Amino acid sequence: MLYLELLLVLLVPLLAGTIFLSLFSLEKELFPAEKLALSFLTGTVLIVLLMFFMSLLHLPLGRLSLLIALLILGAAAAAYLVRRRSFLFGAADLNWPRGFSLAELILLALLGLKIVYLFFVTLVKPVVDIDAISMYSAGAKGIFYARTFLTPFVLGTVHDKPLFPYLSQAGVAIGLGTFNDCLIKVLTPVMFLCLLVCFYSALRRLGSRAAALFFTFLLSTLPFLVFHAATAYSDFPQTVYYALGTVYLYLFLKEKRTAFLTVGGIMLGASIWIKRGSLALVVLDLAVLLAWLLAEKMFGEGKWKALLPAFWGFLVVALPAIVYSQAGFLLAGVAGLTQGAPAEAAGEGSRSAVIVATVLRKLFLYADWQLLWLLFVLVLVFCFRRAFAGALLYLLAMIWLGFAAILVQFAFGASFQYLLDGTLFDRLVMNLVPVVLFYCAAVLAPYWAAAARTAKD
Amino acid sequence: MRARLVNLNKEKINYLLVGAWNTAFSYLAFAALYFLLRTVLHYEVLLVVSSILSITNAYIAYKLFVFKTKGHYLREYSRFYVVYGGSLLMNLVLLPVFVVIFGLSPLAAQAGLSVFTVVFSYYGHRNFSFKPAAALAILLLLVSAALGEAIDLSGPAYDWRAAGPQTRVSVEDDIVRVTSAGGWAGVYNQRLAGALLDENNLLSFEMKTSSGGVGAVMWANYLDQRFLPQRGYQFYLGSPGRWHRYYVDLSAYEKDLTRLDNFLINPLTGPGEAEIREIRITRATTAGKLLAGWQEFLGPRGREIAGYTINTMPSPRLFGREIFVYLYWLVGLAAAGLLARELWPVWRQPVKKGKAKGWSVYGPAFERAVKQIVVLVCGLWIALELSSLYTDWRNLRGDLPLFGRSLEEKRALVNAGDFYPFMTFCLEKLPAGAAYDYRVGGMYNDIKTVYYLYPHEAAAGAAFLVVYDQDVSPEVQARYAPFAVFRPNAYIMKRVGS
Repeated sequence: MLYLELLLVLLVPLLAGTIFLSLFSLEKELFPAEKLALSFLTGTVLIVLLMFFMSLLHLPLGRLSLLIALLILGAAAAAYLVRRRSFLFGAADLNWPRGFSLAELILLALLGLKIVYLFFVTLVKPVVDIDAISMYSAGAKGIFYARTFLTPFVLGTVHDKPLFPYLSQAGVAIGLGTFNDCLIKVLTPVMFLCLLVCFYSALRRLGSRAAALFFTFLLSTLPFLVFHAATAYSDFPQTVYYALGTVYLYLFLKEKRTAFLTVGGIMLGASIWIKRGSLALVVLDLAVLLAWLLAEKMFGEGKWKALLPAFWGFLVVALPAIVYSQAGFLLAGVAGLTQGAPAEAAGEGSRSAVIVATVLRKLFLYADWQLLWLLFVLVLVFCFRRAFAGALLYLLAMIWLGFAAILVQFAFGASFQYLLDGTLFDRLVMNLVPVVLFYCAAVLAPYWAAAARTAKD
Repeated sequence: MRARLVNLNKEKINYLLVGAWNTAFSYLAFAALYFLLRTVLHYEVLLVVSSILSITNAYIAYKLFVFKTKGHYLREYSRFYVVYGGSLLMNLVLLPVFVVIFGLSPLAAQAGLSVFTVVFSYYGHRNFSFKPAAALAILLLLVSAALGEAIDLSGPAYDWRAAGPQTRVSVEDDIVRVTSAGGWAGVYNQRLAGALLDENNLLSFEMKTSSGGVGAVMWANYLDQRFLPQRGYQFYLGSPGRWHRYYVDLSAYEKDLTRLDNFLINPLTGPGEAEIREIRITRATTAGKLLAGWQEFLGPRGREIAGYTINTMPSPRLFGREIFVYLYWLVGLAAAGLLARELWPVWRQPVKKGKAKGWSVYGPAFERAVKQIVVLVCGLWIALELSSLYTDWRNLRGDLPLFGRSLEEKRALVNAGDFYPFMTFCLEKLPAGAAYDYRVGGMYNDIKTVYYLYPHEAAAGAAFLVVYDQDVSPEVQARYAPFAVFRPNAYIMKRVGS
């Protein structure tokens, strides 16, 4: 019975996301499974937003009150969609792919096996990870019992962190009507599934189905990513939203379809709700977008105005987070970046050497990422004619800027100790990992580009 | 003709894919039967049963997906037993060799033999014979680890002592017996072994433990006589209650073995008992190094998350080096070879008059080489994933005891000792809405207390004091009186006058 309720709880963000995405006329641009995945991801952050505003308005966060709020908002949006006669899903979405080869079936089976394994290990045991017990799940428990996040206990666990991890877990508990610390972790394996689906869909636009499945399979084999997808931490959700936001941003730069900009903007905006560091990564991505706009001469000819509607999704999702929690961080964050710098200045030369050695060792000699970084180096070295061409250059820029942000944080801030004790670097790099694998697949695409497909095919 | 060639290639690809599936199915079938029935049937019997299942699976898979023949089911099925009978017989002979003589678990031994069987099957099918000389060489190689001069550290002469206060050690009949009530259960030899290690570099011992988990060996040298994880090696403990043999290739971790003086063996990860015998240091043969390397690769390093806050995953090691070192060398050498193979013929082509060789000439060859290098890297990635699947299976096995249990039972199982039952006790006894102060011992139990006892909130100097395996200062004790007792050292106190 509880598992049936869990399925119903998962349907709610799916429906909410579907209605929201229907407002942006994306139906012709996305594949059916991709629509489902993006709907769930969008719906999850919308429910977090709703819980946020309800708490601010001192409305209790209960099953009934949330449902009523969702029904009211959903009905209003649905009425508009009915008038406009557009919806995210259509009859064409019932046509699912057929005619899989043996290799594709094996890859699908392996992916399915990994997903089943992930769901099992996630749901079979309670929260055991310390950061989750001390912060995220503790805060979620506080929200569940108090029906708001505005209590001293919850705010004490939240500190100045964004609210997504707390509200999302609390949302599951509220939906179930009980605080079950096995089942509140259900969101991360579902997000893992969504990540695989969207990753595959993005790659499918660049090449054959078999190759897209293969690289999606490679993504599912990253041990550190899979492990975090089974925890109640915030790192994996941040990775999902940020990576997908960057990938869709790349698709926009390549294809120049505003649908991708819309989706990318929503994903990047959602990532700001998850961890403080996301804001820096999102700003860097937007800086690359700005560079592209300048290179394409969008400003001079006024073409940029046509892109404004695509930013509505980003603003709706991101603005509340920026206003509520990030404004204070912006002031504190700059100080945090350089905290301790004068005292460390004397040892700066040795700190750089330590950082470089530690980073190289962690990337290439640890089991977190299999052979991803070797593949990345090979692609940069041997595929130099394609690796820096067109939209790939911008994607590479986003990767390198993301890396630079991590290195700056260790080089100049108080986080250096966390590099030495190994508690932070891998989790920060995880944000970039799906993007790096996507980049490698995109550079290698000409080897298998014969049967690329769009959603309109 | 072209269609025939395409079909032939497709058949070969299908053969490879189906072969990979058959190998995986064969091992998984044995593993599943072993896991379910090992207490009922001997592993050799389970091997025969799983082989029948595997041969049947192979027959169906090859018939349906590769050769696609029709009819003649019984004749073809019986021929499969003829073809696979040789490898089955070899498996039946070698499996107990690895289990009994070298102390590997049947699962680990069968995993290695699965790989060996694939190689053997290939050569067996190609040559239609198995060269007696090669068989003898292999047999000699296998047994040679058991021969040779050994230094026996088992006896009382080496004065084995306990490293932790809650551990007791005794030596009887050259068996080191360890009993631990918790904490550090390591035992070490007090008498030095240093100068004896000049040419002897393989440490091996047999051990029987009362519980599974991760064991460790550490060593100290004359410069630094502390036992540190950096000079150590972890291994998975075999199934409890049975003797298992463990190997450590010391030369993979230490350059100067004469500097090693003392060894510490930690047989337990919690309270329990262990017996250790035949603690030997021998000169490592190839077989010994391979066995040690195999245990090392399948060990906890690279399979257990390092640190309690899921921060990083060290690489599995082989012969003391991260596995990736070998893979990078392999890829580097292969890349050089592939590039040379593709570009050399182009380089040798005569230059056309007035035209220098540019990308248009070298490009296609270069791209072919790059494609092959990428395929190699992806193939090695898949091989690493096989190793990760073993880790996933271990995690799954570790989590299986939780399946089907209630939430309360699960919380009790994931917490050490009686900590969670004590939390439940506190939730029952604390009045509704009461705040509490706490003195809680054990790793991270203070954080867990705040989590489990919510909606009761923690506050310094609160009306109730929760105490679990922690000393309370006399000043604090004076302010509180006993309220409810779970057991000695686990109780709730109430502020006097509140």
